[in-house]
Amino acid sequence: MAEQGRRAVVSNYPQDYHYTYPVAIALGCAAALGLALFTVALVRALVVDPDLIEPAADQAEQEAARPAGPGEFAPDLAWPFYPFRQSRADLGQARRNVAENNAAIWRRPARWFFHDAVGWWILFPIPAVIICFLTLASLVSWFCYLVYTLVTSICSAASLLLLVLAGTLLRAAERRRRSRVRTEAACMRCFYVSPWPAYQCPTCLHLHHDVRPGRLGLILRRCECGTHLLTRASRAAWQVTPVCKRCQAPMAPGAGAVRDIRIPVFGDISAGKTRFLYASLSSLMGSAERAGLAVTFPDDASRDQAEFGLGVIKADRETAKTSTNVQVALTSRLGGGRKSELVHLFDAAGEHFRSARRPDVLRFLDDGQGLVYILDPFSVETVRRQLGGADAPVVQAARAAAGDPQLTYDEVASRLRDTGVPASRGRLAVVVSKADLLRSAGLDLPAGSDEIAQWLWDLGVHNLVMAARRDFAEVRFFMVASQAIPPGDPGDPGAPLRWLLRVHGSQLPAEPADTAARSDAGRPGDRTGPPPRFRSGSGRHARPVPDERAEARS
Amino acid sequence: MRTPPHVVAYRSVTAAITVLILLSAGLGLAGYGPLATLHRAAHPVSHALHLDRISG
Repeated sequence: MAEQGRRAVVSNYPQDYHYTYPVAIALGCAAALGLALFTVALVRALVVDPDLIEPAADQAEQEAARPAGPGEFAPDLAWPFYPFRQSRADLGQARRNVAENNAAIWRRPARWFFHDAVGWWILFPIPAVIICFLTLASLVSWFCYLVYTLVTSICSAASLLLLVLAGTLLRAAERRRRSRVRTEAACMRCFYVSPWPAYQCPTCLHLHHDVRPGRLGLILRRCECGTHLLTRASRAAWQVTPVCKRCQAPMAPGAGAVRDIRIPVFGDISAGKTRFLYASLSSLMGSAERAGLAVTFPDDASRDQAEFGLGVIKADRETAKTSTNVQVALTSRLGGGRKSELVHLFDAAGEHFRSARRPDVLRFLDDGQGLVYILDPFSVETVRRQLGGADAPVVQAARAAAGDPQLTYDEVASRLRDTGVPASRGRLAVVVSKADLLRSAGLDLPAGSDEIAQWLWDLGVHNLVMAARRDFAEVRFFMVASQAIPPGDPGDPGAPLRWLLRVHGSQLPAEPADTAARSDAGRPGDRTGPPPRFRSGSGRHARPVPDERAEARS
Repeated sequence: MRTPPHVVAYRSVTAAITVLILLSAGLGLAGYGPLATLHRAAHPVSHALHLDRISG
């Protein structure tokens, strides 16, 4: 009995059962058919015959949408996150399958009722019932697809929001770390420097050029071959082999994740560049040992080269002339693990610096963070005269550089200007070499940076002193003897290197002598270093130096 | 090429949510939705209250 206030759906009249229940059953069957159509379509789209967007297809789409410009690379071959691409593919496949299924159930009735056998309409209302039944089934299947579309779209949008947000934060953190630690990746074969190198998948050997968090992965990315790789250069550099983006030469482990300091050494022929390089390395190793820092060589070539060079310095043997066919690039690692630093020292035969504008040979000059200019004092005419002329025994023993020191400097400075390198933000160590020979000849040599600059000025090398201070942000002058001298002693060849390393944030501590020299040299970061007039003193230091800025303007 | 696990996981989740929503809608239409179930569960109580009220 129906309760008061409620209307009975089915009355007690028996004829109601004859209509209502069959209609309800037919509607239920139609809905079930619609659900089945959708279920079959979805299972086919997601499991049996999915439209899987593989990395190569995704890469091609990305490349077509935004072609790689000069110096850029195509997107990496890795599986993108589901919401970025695969969700659209799944929706499309499900839609096609639902449409196909509906077309299949409508094919025969449509032919019967509307094309070949319109006589069916004589049996009205059977065609109308079948059409209504199929219409309802189709509507239910499309409704189910609509629900699936909404679910997928909402899930994808929410995931995208989270992924993009997290990716942006992780990228910002990585960018900040790169800027703070000054990580870069320098190739020792082609001298190409990039913010981070490519990383090679250990399984399929594909290169991943951009491992920043993004659409291919936040913490991990899945290579095309299925191998998981860490994202972010700071982590990937320790997991897989870093590779130069340009020449694909393997790099030192940690390249792109640790501080990278590049110091080219330049100067005229026989100025003492190679000897300085090895002697400064020897001193550097002594300083590092005192500070408890390990110095290692990440590649065999650097290790062999260092062993040979350090042997020459320690045995006080003559250094062989550098061949014009090779550019020496010596990489050492200061410290260990993730806090280590890669220090690259570059050297080339002096002949190259006489025509330094050649773009290929001296490529390493363009990306140096600090330059070392080796000035052979015996190439200065005044010094030779003071020592008794070109035929004096000490001058003969020095095997002086033949060219004018100003010419080599000008060539390199012009090259830097021509290639757009902002030398005005760089630092230059002007190293007067062969100090041991000068001392042995009885010359009184200055010690501090200002005094050495003044000394050079007095010797007639004022153009170079002035140009160096004009061209670079900070210039220091050093007087070294390229021998196995303990760190901190007079003539220590490691002092220029330590200065350049420290201004670029190296963990190598300063020697007490370096600190004293720095206090003499004025405020770091000054464009012209010390005050325009050097302090006056007795003897050859008595002559004041005019204001180089004023001269430069004139 | 083998489908990566994260794709399988995403598909499973979206399909499961869709099934849940359709199931809820279907049961609701068939009279077994949450409101109808609640109503049926509360019916004896409301009926008893109704009888208490009309009996004074």
